Amino acid sequence: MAMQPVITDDLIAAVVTGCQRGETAAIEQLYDLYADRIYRYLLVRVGNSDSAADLTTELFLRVIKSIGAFRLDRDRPAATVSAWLFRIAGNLAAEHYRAQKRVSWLGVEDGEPSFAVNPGPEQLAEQKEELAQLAQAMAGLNEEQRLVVTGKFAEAMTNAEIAAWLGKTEGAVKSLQHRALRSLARLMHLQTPQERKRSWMSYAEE
Amino acid sequence: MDELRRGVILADCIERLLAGETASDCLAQYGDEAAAVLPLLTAAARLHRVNTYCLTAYQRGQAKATLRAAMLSHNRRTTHSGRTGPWYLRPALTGSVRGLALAGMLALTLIAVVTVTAVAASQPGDVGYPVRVVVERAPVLLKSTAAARAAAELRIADRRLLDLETRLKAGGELVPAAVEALLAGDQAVAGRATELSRAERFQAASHVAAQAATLATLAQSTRQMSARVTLEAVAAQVESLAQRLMSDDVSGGVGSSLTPGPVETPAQSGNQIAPIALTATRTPAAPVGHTGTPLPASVQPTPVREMPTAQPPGLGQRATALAKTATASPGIAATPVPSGPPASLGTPGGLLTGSPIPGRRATALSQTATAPAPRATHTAEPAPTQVPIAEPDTPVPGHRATALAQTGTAPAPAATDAPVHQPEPTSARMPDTPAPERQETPPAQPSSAPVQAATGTPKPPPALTPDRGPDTPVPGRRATARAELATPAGAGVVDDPDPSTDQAPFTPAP
Repeated sequence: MAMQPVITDDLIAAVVTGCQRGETAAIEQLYDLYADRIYRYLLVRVGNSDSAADLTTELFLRVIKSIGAFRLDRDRPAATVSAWLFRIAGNLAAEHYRAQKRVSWLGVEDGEPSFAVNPGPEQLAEQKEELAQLAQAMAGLNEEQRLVVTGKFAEAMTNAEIAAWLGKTEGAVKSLQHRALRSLARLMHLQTPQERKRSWMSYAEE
Repeated sequence: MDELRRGVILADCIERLLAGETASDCLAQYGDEAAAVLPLLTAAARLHRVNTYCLTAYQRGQAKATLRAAMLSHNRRTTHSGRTGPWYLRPALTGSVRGLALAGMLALTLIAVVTVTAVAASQPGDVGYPVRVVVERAPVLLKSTAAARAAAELRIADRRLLDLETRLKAGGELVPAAVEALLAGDQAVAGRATELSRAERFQAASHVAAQAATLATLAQSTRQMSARVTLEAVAAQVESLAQRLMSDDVSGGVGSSLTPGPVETPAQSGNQIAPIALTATRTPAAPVGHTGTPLPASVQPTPVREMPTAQPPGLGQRATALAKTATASPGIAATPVPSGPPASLGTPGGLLTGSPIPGRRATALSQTATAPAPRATHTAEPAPTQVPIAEPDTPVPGHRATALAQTGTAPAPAATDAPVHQPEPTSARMPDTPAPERQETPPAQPSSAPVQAATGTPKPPPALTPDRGPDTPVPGRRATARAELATPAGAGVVDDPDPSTDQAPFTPAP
């Protein structure tokens, strides 16, 4: 697991102010702070490393265009910026998903996913299959569930951090997380028929 | 209960999974319940493996280079668009220029506020006072009706009066601008008198009269002699305007009142009296009470001097005119003067004494006065029977003019000695006793006739010309009019003792 840069409110406020002034160093610093998180989110959304990397770059290009109109909440700058960035990422993933469906219909194969480590051919194949399955399953979740499970498992955030990020309570985050995992297990065909039936019944009860 | 238990197990396993344990290790202690939690934990474990994915250094480098270029391009585009294109598409002025523009706007606003405040608070004598006087008259232009305009003018005149009062009480000098504005306001009201109803006119008149009283009080209270004289003059003018507004006949245009032209000296030729024209010339006002002692130029403010007024000339002026009219012709002295008062003057129901319609009377007089008479003639012969005498109760202007002509031509010698400088006696305003038989029996009282002609008449006619108000009798003019009336066109009354020299020699009837 890569080292996550520490994000503080003061740091985010300064970086955003620098970006709004047109400072290139500030946009690079913002990229360093959020690029991996955005990349992983996009990775589980699109299931392809290259596409996720391109979309990450595209996301920051959009940030440059619209940072001038962005209004930072001085009470919680970090959460404001995170929510803004992941909202852009969700839009990008949706656009990519629509475009990918069009490309698949034309018979063009998606590119091979890349990994942080240098896997062997077999591992590479497994990872590719796993990412594709994961992305397919993630597509069946709603945006809140995606954000919760991405923050919880891909970013290793605590429930309190996720709650602060999404503006929800920890209980709500736990509930979202539980439902998202059940949905993922179902969509990834990880449940036995009995478990699946039980899950459906409990889902219907809810 | 099972769901709750499974939730607790899942939470515990997730924490341990995130801590680095495997899913099987986490579920080992939960026995049968592990099977239900395993799919969820497996999904979580697969998702957690994504945490190991990150961008490569190459991808980061490429991305940062792209972002730098994009940021520079964005900056250039922003700056570039700020300097070109139509002004409405450009962003606002930037940097120091914007600051300078804001500072300039603030400075202009501050200057405007200070100027307006200074003008609004200016007092007579201040630099901004003339501006305030002009600006405060602006609301008058917005009034649509004559009454509203008159009311606005009066309000403005009140302000000017208050300014004068404040100024003088503070020990300051009289300010011509305030006097001008005050008189201008009252003059404007008087000028619109014809557009006002009777009640409105009287109301305005009372207002103006109150202003005159205030001015008089102010004149009495001021210590400066020059200011006192000026204020008295202004008060007299304002009082005159009030009287004019109070009177019924304002059709002549109060604002353009005409004072009688300078009484011309009789022709020095001796035999003929030069025609004393009723010249409608605007002359400097002669304030009441200051006749013959004009205000010094340094004291008298401009509006006072230029303001056309309806002030009656002084008694001396009137008397002089009468005397000139009566004594110019030497033939008059030898003329047997018909005795007794003229019929028109002596009858109670005569035109002068009992005319119920002053307007008609004034118009008749003016028409008669402007009749084409080549010169005023004073006949040396009495012609009482030649002149149609007005019946006591028939106000016929022509008849009255003839009667006046009789009156004016009769008593030459006595007129010279007549007390022309005396004030008009009270009895002169009273109607004389009727004398219906006057024309048949010319009286032989030459000494009393001119006095009656000059002073034994009732109150003078309200106006000899349309431009004069009814309350401004001008005895001198009246006498002159009589002199002219004495020779209506074709009347045949000649001044020249030699009938052959005149165009239409008059042959007196037996």
